[in-house]
Amino acid sequence: MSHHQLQRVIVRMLHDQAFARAMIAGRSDTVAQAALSDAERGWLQAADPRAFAVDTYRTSRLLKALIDEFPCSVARVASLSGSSWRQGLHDFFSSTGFHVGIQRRGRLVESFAAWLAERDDQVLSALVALELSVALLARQRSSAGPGTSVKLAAGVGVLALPGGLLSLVHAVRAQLGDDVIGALDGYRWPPHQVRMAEQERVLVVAGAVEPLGGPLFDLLSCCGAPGGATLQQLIEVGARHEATAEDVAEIVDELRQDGVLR
Amino acid sequence: MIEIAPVVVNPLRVRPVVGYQSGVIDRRQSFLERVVALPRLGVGVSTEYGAQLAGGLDVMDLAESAPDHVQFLEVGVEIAKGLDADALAWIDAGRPTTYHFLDVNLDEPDDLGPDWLREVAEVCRQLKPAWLCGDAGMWHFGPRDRNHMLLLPPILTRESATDMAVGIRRLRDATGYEVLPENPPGQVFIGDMTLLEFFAEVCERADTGMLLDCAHLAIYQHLHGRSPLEGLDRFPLERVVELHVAGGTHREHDGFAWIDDDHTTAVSAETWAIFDFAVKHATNLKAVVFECERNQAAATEAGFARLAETLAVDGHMHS
Ligand SMILES: [Fe+2]
Repeated sequence: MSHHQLQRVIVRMLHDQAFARAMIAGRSDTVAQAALSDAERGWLQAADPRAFAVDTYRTSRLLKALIDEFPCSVARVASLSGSSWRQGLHDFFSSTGFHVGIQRRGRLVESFAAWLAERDDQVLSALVALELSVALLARQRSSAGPGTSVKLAAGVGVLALPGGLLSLVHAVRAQLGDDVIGALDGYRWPPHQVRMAEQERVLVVAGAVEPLGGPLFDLLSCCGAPGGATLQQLIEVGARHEATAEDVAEIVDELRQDGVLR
Repeated sequence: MIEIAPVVVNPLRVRPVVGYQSGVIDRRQSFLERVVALPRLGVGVSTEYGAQLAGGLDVMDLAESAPDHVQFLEVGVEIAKGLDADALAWIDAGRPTTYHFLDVNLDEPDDLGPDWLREVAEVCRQLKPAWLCGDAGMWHFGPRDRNHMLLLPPILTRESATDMAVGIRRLRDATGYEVLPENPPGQVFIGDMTLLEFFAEVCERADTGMLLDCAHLAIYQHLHGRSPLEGLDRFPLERVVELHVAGGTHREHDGFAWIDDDHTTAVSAETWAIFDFAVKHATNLKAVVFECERNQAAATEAGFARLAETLAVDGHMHS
């Protein structure tokens, strides 16, 4: 096993004490699953299991950071699982998704989102998809060089959501306030309807999600394609909405000034 | 008889080098030739994004009231966060800095992608640091991310040291600055090399200098039941350009004794022993950081005085 793989096993041991103990005790299923060499197994078995547990807030801290990015999804889980929501969320660190994600150098937010969405609930799936998109956009960094094409700026995205989801999100966020974890005990889900068959278009900028009209959605979707869009392509999109080439150029200009396009 | 107290002149107290920028590394020269051109920075403090707002040290204030204590600022940089107002004010005042990275796993090639390197180069243009440095360990798992709050020591094997050296060379080539790996703290060290053997290997393979964190080394030695100085006599101390000193807290978990690297001002005797030894033998020492950024200035006095004492006796920083 490469040192990278071994390092990832250690990360898993730091976040999952049962896994750490099994690994150190040489429990064959766990060790085989980690595909360690004899020498590596020897190093781990010589370690003190308590050394993996000294940071007693490690998982709570990480969970808090994840809840900050998935407040509505977690509130949905809490409302579905009642008083056991807290332990339920800590189970993430012993889930296959967490362990496989770490071992494959995956993104934690993606493993967490996939784990949340395992529950059979359409509204939860839609919330998770939205919050994951926002989380991934927040991680986008602008890449090098000005190109000739028109592209969405780093951190900007356009999404199509089920009808009513955005107003549900606003309602849940308003209820949760800043202290999300504090608000989750006994949380009562608001009576908003989500219409899965309908579509609502939104723009994500700097973490904020705003409704978007059809013509702008089409223009920005075009800019969101890999490699961006040419002005000519945008003019064609504009024409479908009865906008002139001048209108399109003006809109692109304004959106560039607003930091939506680059 | 009246005793006259000796005047303690801090040998690190030199005219600060302002706006130093290497930008180009002469690849024909070995590190021990290149190190001569690195500026002597003296004593400094470190900071992280938003440290002062979180109730930590006011570095500008301390630099005004106790200039001997803050001759340079080690700026902790996470590219996703950028530079905070304190760091920007420091740069605006034309004061010297070093760039301490907080967001790169040097041994992972994917972590040193072109976009990140471009942004690092941009921050370097702003900071004009004397060099880049930082813990050579695992800052995040998976692709670069915020909020992992993780710093693990590397796997102590030759393979890992080789990959680390490749990353150091790559960062050095991309920025034109020396890149000094720092020994990270930790409670779990895995591999068939000791920490000092590992970093000696990294420095040799990358042909680079080292930032020796005395407190981190003391934690490692304590964890393994070694005396503080064990192995240091065989370590290439001539490669040590910078030293870190910080206080820690003894803690226990389930009967397991460990030292928390929480940067208090209570520096342990073991850390001071390592510091004293290193100052004596690190012939290319250029900078010392007292990592006291989470404390108020008054609490740092004794630590700075103790640093100055050793440096007055053994300090031999070459400009
Ligand atoms: Fe340090």
